Amino acid sequence: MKKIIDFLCSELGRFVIGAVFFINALAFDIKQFSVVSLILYICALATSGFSVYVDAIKGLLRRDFLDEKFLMSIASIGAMIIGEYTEGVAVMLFFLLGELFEHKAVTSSRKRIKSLLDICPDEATVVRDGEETVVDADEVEVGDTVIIKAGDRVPVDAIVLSGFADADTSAITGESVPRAVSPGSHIESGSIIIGGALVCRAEKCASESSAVRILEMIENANENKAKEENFITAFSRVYTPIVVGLAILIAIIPPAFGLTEWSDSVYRALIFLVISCPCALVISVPMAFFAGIGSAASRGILYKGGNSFSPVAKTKTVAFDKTGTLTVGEFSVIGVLANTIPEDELLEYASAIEQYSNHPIARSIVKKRSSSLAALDVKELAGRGSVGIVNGKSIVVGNVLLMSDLGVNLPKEALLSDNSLVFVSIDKNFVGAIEISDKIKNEARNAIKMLRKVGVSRTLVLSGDKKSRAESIGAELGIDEIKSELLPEDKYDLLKREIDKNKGKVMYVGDGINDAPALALADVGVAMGAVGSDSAIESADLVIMSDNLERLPEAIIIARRTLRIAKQNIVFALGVKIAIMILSAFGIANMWLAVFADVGVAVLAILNSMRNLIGGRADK
Amino acid sequence: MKYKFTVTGLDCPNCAAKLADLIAKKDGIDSAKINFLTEKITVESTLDEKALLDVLNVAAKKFDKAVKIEK
Repeated sequence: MKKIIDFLCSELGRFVIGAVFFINALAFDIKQFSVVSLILYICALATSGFSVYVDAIKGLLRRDFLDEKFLMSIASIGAMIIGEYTEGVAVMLFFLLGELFEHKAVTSSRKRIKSLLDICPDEATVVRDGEETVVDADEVEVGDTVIIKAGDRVPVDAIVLSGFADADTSAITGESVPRAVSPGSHIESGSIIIGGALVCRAEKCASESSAVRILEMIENANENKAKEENFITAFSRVYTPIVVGLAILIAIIPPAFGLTEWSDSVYRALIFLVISCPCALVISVPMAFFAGIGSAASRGILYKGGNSFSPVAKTKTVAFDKTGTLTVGEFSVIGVLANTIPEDELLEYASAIEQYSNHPIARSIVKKRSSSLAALDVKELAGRGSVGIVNGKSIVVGNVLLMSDLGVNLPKEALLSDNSLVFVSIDKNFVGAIEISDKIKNEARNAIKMLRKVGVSRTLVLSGDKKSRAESIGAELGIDEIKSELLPEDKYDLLKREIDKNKGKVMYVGDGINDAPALALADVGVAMGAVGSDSAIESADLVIMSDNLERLPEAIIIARRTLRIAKQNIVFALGVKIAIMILSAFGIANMWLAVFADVGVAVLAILNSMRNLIGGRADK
Repeated sequence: MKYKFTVTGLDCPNCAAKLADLIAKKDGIDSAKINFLTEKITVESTLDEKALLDVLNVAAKKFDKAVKIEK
């Protein structure tokens, strides 16, 4: 019974009851208009419009005379008074029907976007007092031992203590290739563990972990409004008063000059009231951006706000930081030069010394050749290299500075390389140079090509690295201009010059670790691979969660598509409203057509916005 | 203090803006903003959370009884 009452009170229920009365009224009306049909019309209007009238009265109590429900009430009652019974009821029925559709469309869009972002786990398994217990993800504390089984979502940012598995980070980074994790790896909340179980230590609580922070960023992005959104909000504030004003003029002026009948012009004025509701306008543009932000986020591209879309879409020049952006930021040994002892022996000596260092270059040597030799008295000299004793011999591993300090002579052929070099000497005799390279990202070349395809006309590298190395990378990737051996302040100045030349169109892409000023300066600052870096997220306009460069052209495509959809929605929503106003001013449109067109426009604008979620990746 | 709550049951973005304007005028509330699409309300207020939620819900009910504001 309660269910039936609930249904009858719902929008759909009111629509059905109203429609039943309406059909009966029409049936009587067709034979001959009578008091019976009039009563049925009134019943239809009263049942379908009841809540609208209640809200209208509430609006009046707030002295809100431009309340849409109030205007709709006037329109329907006004139509009854001038004898347009069918229209009066139809307008209310269609209004209800339209609202129903609109709610459905909004709710399902919200759901679709939320499901894209459903990355926060609810529960976590932790070890407390020696026992595994399932707790809310919010209750996990820093330092807790967390157990993550295959198929589980990582509840908080954590470090792996034991176990091997793959982490599917697609929810966070948009990357579909899983990452192997082992003891010592950091894992981000929201990732899914596959093919193994892990024991981890919580490094952050849930609310400070990646997944929640990403969601917060997306939510906040919806608060930073784009120009188009502000325009439509400002416009909608004046739209209703203007249309109501026009309605009054239409009702009074033509009949006053004897051009039309009073009842005709009142009817036309009522149509104006019907389309005076700004909702279709107000929803059309934010919906487009909402969908754009959601669609980008599902690919690991985080817009900081609706206001970032326009500069991204306009990008013509892209300046890249080199290390960690175009290159993987991990060094690797590619060979040995001018060696006087066998390559393997040389690497083994170097590795014996370098295993005590945490420098990325030292680690790359150890990775290439681990050493079983014992080293004594190892000393690390910052910015130069390391020294120590192996097998009773004095070994030095370091750069040119260290070698010349220690009086080691370097043969000329040992200096001929575009790559970074590490020299090795035994008892002050040079024995060879290790060539180290910072590997170019696999997708970098393709990403640059794709950027050109989407209309980027100029690419630059701003690098602190030595000239030959930066230039060889630039040539390999097909980048237009290479600026090398730059100090951080030089990068800033060069970027500033680019912006002066090409205002509003310059994008800077960096890893956000030491280039926050450049990120902030550029028209669009893009921080790559910035899951954890607060300073990067702070100063960037666009954050790419993975370090995949192919996301850049995608971000541009999404920005353009979003803006295009937003503009289509503005033109469409406004266009239809203006068309109906013109038609009704000349007496061509009727009321229920107006109301249906009005809410229909809102529904179409919502559906149009949802196209952004279906649209494919840039490479498809 | 800045608070953020979930607000459900609003009909349209226009109503959302109106409700936000109404709420912003209440005593103890400095500003209020509603995002219709994300269904979030952001309120700056000197009240504590419980008192604030009461004030918000009373105002919302008066505006449209289907509207609910929750933590």
